[in-house]
Amino acid sequence: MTKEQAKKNIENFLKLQESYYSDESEKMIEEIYNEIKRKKNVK
Amino acid sequence: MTIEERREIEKKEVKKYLEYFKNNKYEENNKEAISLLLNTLTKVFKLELDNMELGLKFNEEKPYDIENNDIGLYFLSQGYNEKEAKRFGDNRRQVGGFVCDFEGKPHIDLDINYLLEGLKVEDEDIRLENAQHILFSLLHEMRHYKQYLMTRYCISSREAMTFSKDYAVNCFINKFYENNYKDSAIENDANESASKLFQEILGEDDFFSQANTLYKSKFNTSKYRYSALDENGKPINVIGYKEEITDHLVEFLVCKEKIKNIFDIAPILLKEYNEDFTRKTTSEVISNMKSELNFLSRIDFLEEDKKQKLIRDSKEMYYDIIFRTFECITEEEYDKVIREFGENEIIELIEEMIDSFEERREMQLDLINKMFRIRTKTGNIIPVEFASGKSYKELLIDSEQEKYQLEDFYYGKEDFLYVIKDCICRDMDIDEQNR
Repeated sequence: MTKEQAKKNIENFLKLQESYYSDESEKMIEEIYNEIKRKKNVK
Repeated sequence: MTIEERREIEKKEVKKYLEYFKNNKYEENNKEAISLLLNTLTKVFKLELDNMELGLKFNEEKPYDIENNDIGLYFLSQGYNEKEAKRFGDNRRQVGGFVCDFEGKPHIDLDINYLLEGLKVEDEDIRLENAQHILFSLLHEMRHYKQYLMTRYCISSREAMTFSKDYAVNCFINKFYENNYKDSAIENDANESASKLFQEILGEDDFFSQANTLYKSKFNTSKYRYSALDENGKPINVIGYKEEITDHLVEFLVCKEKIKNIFDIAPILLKEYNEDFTRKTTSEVISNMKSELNFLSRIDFLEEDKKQKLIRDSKEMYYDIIFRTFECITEEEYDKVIREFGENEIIELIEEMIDSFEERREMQLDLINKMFRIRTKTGNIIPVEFASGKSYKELLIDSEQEKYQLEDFYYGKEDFLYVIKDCICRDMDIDEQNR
C-alpha cells in the first residue's frame, strides 16, 4: 500500500468512525473508562 | 452542501412521508403512496451516502444501476422474505437486508410488499410506527454498508476486526449468524447507529436515546454460542464472549479449513494470519505493531486527538492478537522474542496488555450492570445482579404487573420472563438445551 493510499484509507476510516462514535453511548463508555482509571489511581 | 444542510432536507422529506402515512393508509395500487415511499427512501439513502463524505457514487434516478453506483438500492417485489424465512427456519419477516457477496458490488434489498403491508394498517399510531420502522431499517442496513467499508480500509482497530471476524464466521459457519442474530455484534452496532441517526432526523426522542445505550452495551458484552463435537464425538454447545468464540472459529477456518477467499472477505485478518493459512508468530505481530505505531506517531495530516485515537485503536487490536499468540507460544519462540525485543520491553508490553484487558473487563461488567438494572413501569427500581444470587422468585413476584421494563425497554410478561431467563442463563453459562 502506498503512503497516499494509507493516508486516504485512514481519513476515510476516521470519517466512518467519527460520524457514529461521538454520541451519547460513546460518552458513556468514555465515562466508564475514566471512572475505572480514577478508581485505579485511588487504590 | 454541508451535513447540516443535507440533514435539513432529510428532515423535511421524512416529515412529509410520516405525515402522509399517519393520515392515509395505503390502498392497493395507490401510485402516489408508492412513489412517496420509494422517493423518500431513495432520497434518505442518497443523503446519508453523501453525509459519509467518501465521494460514493449513487444515482437517485437509477438506484438499481450497480454498474455505475458504488452501492445499489433494490426494491424487491417478491422473494426477499421467502428467502429469509427459509434461512432462519421460521416465519421471520423483515424490511430488508444488506447483501454483499464480496465479489460483486454490495446492495441493500428492501421488500416492497412487506413495506406496503405495514402501511395498510387501520390504526394510525401503528401505521406511523411502521412507517418509522421502515426508515429505521433503511438506516440499519446502511450501517452494515459502513461496517463493510470499515473492514476494507484495513486500519487496525478492534471494531474493524470484530466486524471482519463476524462477517467471516457468518459466511462460513453454517447457521452461526441465524443462531446468534440477537447478540450479533454487527446487528447491535447497526441498531445503535440507526437509533442515533433516527434521533437526529426525527429530533430528540427518549426511547431512541435509551435504545442507543442498550445496543452499545450489548455490542460490548454479548456472548455467542455454537454447536460442536467434543473429543468423544458428543455434540456440545459452546458459549463465550463474542471475541473468544469468533477468534476460535476464525482460527479454525483459516488454519484448519484453509478457506481460500476468507482474506477477500476479511482482509484485516492478514494482520493476524499469513496468506499461507498459518498464524503469524509473536515476533512478527510485535514487529508489525511497532512499525505501525511508529508510522501512526509520525502522521502529520491529522489533529493530535485523532492520531491518539488511531494509536489507541491499533494497540487494542494488536494486544488481542499478541495475547492469542502467547496462548500457544513455545519455549523456543518465547526465547526468540526475548532475544529480539529484550526482556524489559516484553515485560512492559505484557503489563500494558494486562492493564488494557482489565479496563475492558471492568467496562464490560459495568455495562452489564447498566443493562440489567431492572425497574417496573411505576418506577420502583429493582437492581438485579444476576451473578450474585438474587432469587428468581423475587423477579417472578414483580412480574405480576402487566408491563415490565428492562433498561428502558417495555416487555409483556412472557417476553420479559424470556429475556430475564435468557440473561440469567447466559450469565451462568447455562447452554440452551439445559435451560
